[in-house]
Amino acid sequence: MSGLVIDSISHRYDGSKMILQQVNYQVGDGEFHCLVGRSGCGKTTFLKIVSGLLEAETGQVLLDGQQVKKPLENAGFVFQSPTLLEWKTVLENVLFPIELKRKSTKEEQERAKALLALMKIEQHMHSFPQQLSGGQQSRVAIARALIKNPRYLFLDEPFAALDAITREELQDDLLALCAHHQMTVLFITHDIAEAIYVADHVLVMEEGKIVHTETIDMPKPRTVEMRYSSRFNELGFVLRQALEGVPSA
Amino acid sequence: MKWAPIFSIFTFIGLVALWELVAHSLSELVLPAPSVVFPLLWTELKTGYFTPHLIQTGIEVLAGLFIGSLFGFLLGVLMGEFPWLRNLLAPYVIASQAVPKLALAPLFVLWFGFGMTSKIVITALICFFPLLENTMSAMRQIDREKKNLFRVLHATRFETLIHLKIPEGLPSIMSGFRVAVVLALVGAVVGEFIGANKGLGAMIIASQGMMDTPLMFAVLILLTVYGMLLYGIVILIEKFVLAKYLYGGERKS
Repeated sequence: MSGLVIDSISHRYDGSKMILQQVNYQVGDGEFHCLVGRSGCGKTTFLKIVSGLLEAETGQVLLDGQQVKKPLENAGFVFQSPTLLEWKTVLENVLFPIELKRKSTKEEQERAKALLALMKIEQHMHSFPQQLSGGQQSRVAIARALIKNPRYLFLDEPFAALDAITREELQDDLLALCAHHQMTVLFITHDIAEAIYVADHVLVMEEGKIVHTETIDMPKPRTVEMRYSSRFNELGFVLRQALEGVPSA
Repeated sequence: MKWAPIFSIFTFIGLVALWELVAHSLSELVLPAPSVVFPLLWTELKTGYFTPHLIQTGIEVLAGLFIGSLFGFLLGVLMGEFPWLRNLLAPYVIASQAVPKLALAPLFVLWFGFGMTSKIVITALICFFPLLENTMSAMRQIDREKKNLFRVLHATRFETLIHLKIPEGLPSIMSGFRVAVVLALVGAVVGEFIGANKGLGAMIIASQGMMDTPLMFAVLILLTVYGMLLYGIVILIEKFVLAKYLYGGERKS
């Protein structure tokens, strides 16, 4: 079976209560899945386990039928904070996943510059992270996650600290990049509107369980007008009810 | 505060003036005036009287600082990286620092003789702890998400150390080094107090024996300038060599 299969995973941290309880899910190749839920519901733990950063107490994650036991080889990760290395320039940060193991080639350097251009920050490639705004730092983090052309992209509330306009711009840029690179994406957010706008499928998590899944049946590429459509609002209402524990009609 | 350096100079002039004023009401044996001390300092510098002593103390300071800082840094890295080593060695390290090292000075003179070695050992011991403590703390205070980033990138432990922990910890490590630089001078001078025939510490003891207080003050001024110079060199290294690690490229902007 191709894609990621999450098979009955449960987890708790050192004697604490169960963070995840018997979660089953499947992520198909090239799909964009968004996970929404309240703080502390287990979203980040779920993402860590699926990406191989954390081993589940019970259950397993399978990638193309093989159990995932360590961080996936061909995956990019964007954390809640940009996690840029302050002593490296923007370009050096983007190339870092390659340069950690070997010297980057001319083609890879060109690719890094192209990614920065796609993220609209090529003019800052020789700047240091401290000289950038929060939104620009997030763009660099996304470019870094994509430098090795990953098959999977995991994002843990990457835009949580940004203002509304910057968030919307980054959502558009992310969607364009994902469409361009045909990636499978698992994205965590608190924001229902963000989830509807970027995802093909939205999962609602509550107390360590997936309590609702919703397929977003709006066409791609998404446009700003869609944010104000009746379908967008309907989906928002359904997901909000799911988050509040109201049974779906 | 762009006026701060000017205020600082005026404060210095004011303090020297006050010193001069107070000194005139006291015996030169108790408090020699700056009008006596500074000409003496200048004359002896010109004649080269201070030179061998400056060199001797300088070598002791630099050698002790190098050895103490290097071992402090290396052990700090190891104790930061391996919790079992930290648990094993922490009580001994704390015990070694709880013992007043100045009280150990006579013992080191007994063990290593009156030469340079005993002073270097004392200096190294004094410089060791600030580097150890700051390096160990720096290794343990690395951002969790950055560590996860390195895990995602399949970095080895050594790669994480070289590319994340040491660069990220450099501000803390360098603040430990700045403390060590100042303490190094204390270590060398105290070592020379116990037994030496050369060095600025030995000169202070000699001037005390000769009741030559102006000379003692001249040496004290030399020591102060020496300490400030060393500290200044470290600041310059931080600004021009390590700027991107300490200020994230702010200086380049």
